[in-house]
Formats: sequence, C-alpha cells, structure tokens
Amino acid sequence: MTAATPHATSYAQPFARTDRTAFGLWWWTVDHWLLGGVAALMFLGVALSFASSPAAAQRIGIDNELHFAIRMCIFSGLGAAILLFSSMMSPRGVRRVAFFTFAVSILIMIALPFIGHSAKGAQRWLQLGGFGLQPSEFVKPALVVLASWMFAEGQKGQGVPGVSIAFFMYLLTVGLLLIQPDVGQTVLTTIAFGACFFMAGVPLRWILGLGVVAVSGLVSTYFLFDHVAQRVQKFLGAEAADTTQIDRASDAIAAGGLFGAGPGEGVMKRHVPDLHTDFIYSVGAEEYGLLFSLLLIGLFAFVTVRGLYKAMRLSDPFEQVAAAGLFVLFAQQAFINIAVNLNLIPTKGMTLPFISYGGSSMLAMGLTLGLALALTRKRPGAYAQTEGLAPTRAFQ
Amino acid sequence: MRPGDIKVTPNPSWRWLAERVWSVEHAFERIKAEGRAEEDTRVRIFFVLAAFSLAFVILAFGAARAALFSGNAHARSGPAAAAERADLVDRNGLLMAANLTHYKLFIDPEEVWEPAETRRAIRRVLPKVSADRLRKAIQGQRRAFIIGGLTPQQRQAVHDLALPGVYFEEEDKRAYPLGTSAAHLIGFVDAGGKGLAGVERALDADIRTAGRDGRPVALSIDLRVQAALEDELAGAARDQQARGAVGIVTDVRTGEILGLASYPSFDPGAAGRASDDQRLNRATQAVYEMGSTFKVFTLAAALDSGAANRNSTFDVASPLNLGGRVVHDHDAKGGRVTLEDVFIHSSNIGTSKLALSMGAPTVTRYFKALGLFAPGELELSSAWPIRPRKWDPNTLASVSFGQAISVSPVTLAQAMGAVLNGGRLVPLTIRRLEPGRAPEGQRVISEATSRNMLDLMRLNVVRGTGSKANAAGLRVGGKTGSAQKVVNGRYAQTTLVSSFAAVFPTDGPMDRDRYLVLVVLDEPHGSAASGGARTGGWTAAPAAGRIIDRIAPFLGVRRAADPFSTATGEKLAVEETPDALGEAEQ
Repeated sequence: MTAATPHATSYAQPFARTDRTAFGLWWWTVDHWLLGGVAALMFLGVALSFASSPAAAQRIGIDNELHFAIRMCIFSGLGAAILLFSSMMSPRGVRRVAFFTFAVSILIMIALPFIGHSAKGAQRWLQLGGFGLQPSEFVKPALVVLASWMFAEGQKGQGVPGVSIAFFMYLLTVGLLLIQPDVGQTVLTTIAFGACFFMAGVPLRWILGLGVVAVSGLVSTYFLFDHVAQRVQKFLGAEAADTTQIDRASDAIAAGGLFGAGPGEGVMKRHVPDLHTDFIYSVGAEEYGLLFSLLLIGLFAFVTVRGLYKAMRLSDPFEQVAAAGLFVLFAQQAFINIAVNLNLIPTKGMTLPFISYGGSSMLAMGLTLGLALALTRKRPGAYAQTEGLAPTRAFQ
Repeated sequence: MRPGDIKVTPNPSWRWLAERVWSVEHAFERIKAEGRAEEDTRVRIFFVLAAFSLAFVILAFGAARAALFSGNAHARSGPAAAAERADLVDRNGLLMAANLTHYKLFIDPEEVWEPAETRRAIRRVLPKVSADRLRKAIQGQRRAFIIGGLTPQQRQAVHDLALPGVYFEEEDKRAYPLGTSAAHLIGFVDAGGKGLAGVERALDADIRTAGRDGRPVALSIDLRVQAALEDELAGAARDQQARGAVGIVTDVRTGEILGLASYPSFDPGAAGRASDDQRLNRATQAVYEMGSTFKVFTLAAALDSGAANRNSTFDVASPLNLGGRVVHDHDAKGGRVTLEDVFIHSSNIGTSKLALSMGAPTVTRYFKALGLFAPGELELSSAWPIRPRKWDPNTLASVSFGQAISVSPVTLAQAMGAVLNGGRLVPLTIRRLEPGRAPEGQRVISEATSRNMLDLMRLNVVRGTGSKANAAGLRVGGKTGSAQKVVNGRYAQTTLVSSFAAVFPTDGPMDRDRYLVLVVLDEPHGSAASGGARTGGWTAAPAAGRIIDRIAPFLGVRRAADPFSTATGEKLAVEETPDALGEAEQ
C-alpha cells in the first residue's frame, strides 16, 4: 500500500482510488458503513471491559485488576485482524475458508470428549496454552456459508444434491453440539440454518413442516436437559427457581435509569457472576444509562439492517443467502443476549457480539462479519440494479 | 432420471431413500425455475430484515421499560461492595453481626514532602500508630502498610491533614452491634474474616456464601428473649456470686434455640482482650454433673418402659445401702410414697430404687436414645458427655439422680425437649427454621409418657421443690437440680451446680409450641434473697420463673386460668381441662 502524497493544507485520502494493492482494493470495495458500525462495537467492547474487569478479576481472585481488560484488548485486536483478512476474500475464498474452518471445527468437536476441557458441566473447550478455544463458535459461520453454497448449487439443477448435503452438515454439527451438551449453540445454529434455507427459497408448505420439527425439538430439550428446564421454570417464575443473576441484572438496569449511575459507579458488577460475559449489557446500562443502551441496540440494529439490505441487493444466490445468513447469526446473538438481560426471554448464556469478554466468541464474530463483509464488497456484477425490489438508495 | 441415482446399491431401502432425496432436490430446484415472487430470495431476505427490525425495536422499548418504568428506579442495585461475610440476624431480622468498611493506611515515601511533619501529624490524629513503624515507612523505598481497621472518621482526620503520599485501601471488618449480648452464641472472627468461635465458626461457609449473594443469615435466636435471659441470668449469678452460669431457651417442638447465654460474657468485637474463662461457652463446651434434673429422664424411662406408673409406691423410709455407699434424701419424707412424691420431693432413694428395678440395660437404652451419651447435632461444637465406664448398681443409682455422669447444658436441653415435646428427639439448631420445616425427630418415648412428665413437672412447681419458678398464669412446670461438685476427689456438700429445667405452658395439645428454660448456676454461694440456700429450688428456679414471666409475651403464650392452682394443689389431669378454661385471659 502506498500513501498518497500529503498536501500541505488539505486532507488527503490515505489511498487513492487508483491504488491497486490488496489493501487499497479492499478499502474502496468494502462497505464503510458496516465497517464503521463494527469498529464502534469493538471500541465499546474494549471500553466496557475496563469497567467490568476489576470486579470480575476480584471475584475470581486474580490480582491483576486489568486481567480481563488486557486480554479483551488482545482478543479485539485478533478479532479485528481476522475480520480484516477474511473480508479481503473473494466469494471463492470465502467458501474455501468456510470449508477449512468447518472441517477443522468438526474434527475438534469429535475429539473434544477425549481432549476437551470441562467447564460448568459441559465439555466445550479446547485448552490452548492459557486460552480456552470453543470450536462450536467457529462452526456456525462456516456451516452458514457452506449450507448457502449447497442450496445455491442444488438450485442450479446440475446434479448436486445440495439440500441433502446441507442437511447432513447441519445434523452432524447439531449432533456434536448436543453431545457436549450445548443447547444454546444448537438453537443458534438451527435458527441460522433455518433462516438460510428459508431465504434460499424453500416452499412455504415445507416451512410449515420443518417448523413443527423445530418446535418439537425445542420442547424436547426442555425434558431432556435439566438445566434448560430449570431456566424456563425460572423465567416463568416458579417458586423454587434461583433468579439471582437476572434479578441483579434487572436491578442494575433500573438503577442506571436514563443517564446511568456514572462511569465506575456501577455496583452490580460486584455481585453478578459472568458479568463480563453474558451480563455485560447490564453493567453498561447501570453505569451509562438508557441512552447508552439505546446507542448499543441502535448499533446492532444498524449493522443488521444495513448488512441484510446489502445482502438483499446482491445478484448471486449463494452470495445473497450466505451474506444474509451471516448477518442473521450476528443479529440473533445480539438480540438473544440483550433480551435475556432485559428479562424478555429465559436465561441463556450467550455472548454479546464484540462486547462480551471471550476469546472464541470475539474471534468467531470477527470471522463471521469478515466473511459477510467479503461477500458484500463491491465487485463488477455483484450488485444487480434492476432485478427484484426496486432499490431505494436510502443507504447509498 | 439422472445417471447418478441409478447406480446405487440394489438394497430396496437404499433405493427408496435415494429416490426420496432426489424428489426433494428436484422440488427445490423447480422452485427457482418457476421464479414465483414469494419464493424469491430478495423477498425472503427482506422478510428477515423486517423481522429483525421489529425485534430490535422491541428491544429498544424493552430497554426503556427496564430502565425507566421497572418500579424500583431509585433502588441501588446492592451494597457498595459485596461483603465477604453475610450479616447475622435474629429470627425477626434484627442485626447481630455485620461487615463494615474500614480503611488501611499506606504511606508512599517517595511522595512525602516533610518526613518529620508527616510523622508528627499522623501520630497526633492516630495515637495508636507505632512511631517506629511510621519512621521506617517514611524512610523506606516503597509504599508501606501503616495501620488497618480505621473508621471513616479516622480516615477523614488523616485526610484533613492534607498530607501528600498518604493512601487508603478499603477493608472489611466485622462489627458486633450488640456488644456483649449473645457473644458466645455469635462468636467472633480473626482479622482475616475467618470464623473462630460460635456461629461465625460453625456456619462459616454458609456465611460466606450468603455474603456473596448479599443476603443475611438468619439465626433461631429471638433477641428479646435473649436480652431477658441474659439480664436475669447475670442478676442471679451476681446475687449468688456464682463462678459461672448458663441460660438456654428452646422451642421443644422445633429444636430452635431462642436464647443462649453464658455468664460471664465478653465483647466479641474485642475477643482478644477477654480471658479464657469469659470466652468459654459454658452452654456447649462445659460439662456438669447435672443432679436431680436427671430424674426427669429416669422417671420418663420408668413410665415408658412400664417399670412403674404414677401410682407405684416406693419405700423411702431408710437410706439405701449399696455396698459401702449410702444414698440419702435431702428432704426425707419417710414411709411409702408414690412416684409423684418421689419426683416432687426429689427423692434420691426412690429414684435409685426405680433405676435398680429397671436395670442398667433399660436405663442406658433410654439415656442413649435421649442423646445423653453424645454431643448432639447442634451446629455449635459441644463437648462430649463424660459417662460411667461400668454400670454397677452403685453407678446406676448415682446416674438416676444425675451424679456420676456429666453432660453439657445443651445436651441436657435437647434431652429435656424430647421428654416434653411428645417424645421425639429433635436436634437443637441455631438456624431459623421456616414454619413447617421443623424436623420430625426420632421417637424416644410415647406421647402418653411425655404427657405424664409434663403433668409431673407442673405438679412439682405447684407443690413441690420447684414452686419458686411459678409465673402467674403461665402453667410453668419444672425440675430442680443441685449436684455436688467433686472437690479434691470427693463430692463436696456445699460446692454445687444448681439448676432448674422449666417448661411452659404445660397444658394444651402435645404438638403445640412449648418452651424449655434451663438455668444452671455453677457454685452459687447463697444470698439473702435465697435465704442463704444454694440449691436449685432456691437459686435457679426463681431466676427461671422471672425469665418466663418476661419472655412469655414475646413467644405469644397468653396467661390463662390454671387448673393446677387449686388450694390443695391436687392433681387434675391436664388433658381433662377444657380448652375454654385454658384460653381465658387472666
């Protein structure tokens, strides 16, 4: 990359439009709005980690108050790097990365029962020198891309049994997730996969049948897994259920009010386990108030809507569905996490994309949005101007 | 048909599966070809986009509702810092122990401007600081700890000096707002917040867990009962110049300890300054030969095993000679007396004969079942009883009236509870039990026996040795005890452990709440108030009566007409009294 010659008086773009290096090409083709939204989220995540880290470190007896904040900075940096590199891919590169990621993740998940690290009653982690790696985080974007590809291939009518292959990959993933057991990731994977299938153009009467299967699957997790049943009962207000976490979260959000208690003034962070991961929203809401919460929700909504809109206007079916599926992955996780914090749905341990502390989720989200950005980049013929819904140009 | 699907295996089920797969694939493929609008990918993505837009709008409304309209907008989300140890509260939620934020003082010598002035100024506002330590810190190289446990006022005083290089860190310190009250029960912690004695030690793990959750630990104690108990106990102990004293109040139905006092007491906030004697919890860690209160157990065993009934008679005319040992009665009646008289006149001869007629196996079986041979399940660590090694007739006779066996007062209280609550051994506890959560307990004696013992104890207060424990209208029952202590290897005539085990009310259904009040005085010396006497009936019984008089209102026991208080004190079986009579307000 070569920087343009700076002028003495006026601001110059760092790269000229004629810059043909990989980075210059990337900069001029990637969607700046999406990139800005994600960058803002990452910044907020790092900032909030400085608020939550001392309390979390103290809770588990780590001397260094900034233990989590420093690691969060490292994770964010790595996440940004992964996002950058994966967003430079071509659609073909996206498929390759997805295939490679999927294969490796599945292999690790198969091996987990033998080499995995068990935490909080489930084997989900691969311990890699001080960092716990959770392969199930990476398998989701990979599955979404590969399934979308298979749907698109299937529809071409060239003899590829796309639907069958996609469902085979889906069942393999979900089966391995349920062995761990990880009901939360199973639900996320199912929703994203279902959304891809839906968007690929599945007939409406099929949706009805698959919906019944999905709902009965969800109901059966209630009976098969004790902790799921407990959480649902807790949400429904059953007497015996322990609602400490969510009660504290509700109190903290209420204490924050409109303007918040002020930076560093939050007290809930000292009471709630998992505050730096699953309940980071409440920590932020207590210290910075509703205005901050709305900003955060707004950012997630903006990235989601902008991303889906871009995906909608792509012309290739694979790119459309894959990009949209990746944004669905991002959006559903944000929605579920915040909804749990607001006590709108039962407690489900789920990270808030880019905001929660956690290496695996940060890197996987970097990969997810990196691939999505790669697919929504401007390329010759990528965007159709005349087909389908009339472009409104509202976002351009 | 495609070339791919014909060359599958001949197995029909595989072929069927392959056909299914291809039919699905073809259907999926056709859809695209037909290009209907509602199955177009763009329309579908737009639908997803709309759904998520709606979802995020809902989130925004949810966030606004949670932040602004949740009803507790002004509630803080908890104390400023999660206390390491939970508050201890009594059964009504009154504070007994709490963690308060104190401060540690540090000095960073690199930032100190005027060492001499700094030293002088800090010593002026904090005289307790060691001059030597201060000097070393100021001359040192790095930040050094000076003193801990500073109150907010002391911190402010140092701040007011406006010295550079002075730093504070927060620390938790245990505070006991009740002072010496309930000191032995609460116990105390070390500087690091680790429970060393009492509840602080017994429930250490629970207190930490509760502290993390920000909720208090509720004890079974009723502070009102505790206060009255301590007041009267200290009064009696001082009046009698006793070495020590114990007072226990329990609910015999649930096993909850409502009050537990050991005299002399100490300040748990400064436990280090108390003597070992003050810190000794005589209720749990001391064992005494309890004397005649044990006759309750001997008679209960006799009635329950069928060895005697209330009308059995005993010849107590002459002292009982047991091979070199002679058992006397203090209050000799002479002639043949009934079981009732043996009890209310506390006849050692009669009780000994009763025990001998039952034999050692029966007596030990009952005593073991009553928990007299073990410390019990109370959370506070209590002492093991000292029991005889061999059970010859001599020992058996002694044990029958509470000599030759030493138990802690809590062990005695637990066994008394089993006799008085309908016959179930319910473990004593210092935790508040939720209503309806009282343990069932182990059946030890029958309900009929328990009823008989309540009647006998009531009778003993109406016209026996326990008359000074009566409290107007509260249907008090009880049994005295005056055990001789061993001094220089011999039982001493005038060195006594005087006690009284009282129960009230004695009437009403067997499953009602009934309260045991146990008063033990170690070496009373007699006083004008007791007419110079040192025995339980004159020293402990009046104290028990006064305690009952004061605590009954807190426990919801109403004063009522008393069927036993007839002119003659004649027996009128309690179970035959109509309830209307019993409930009439006096």
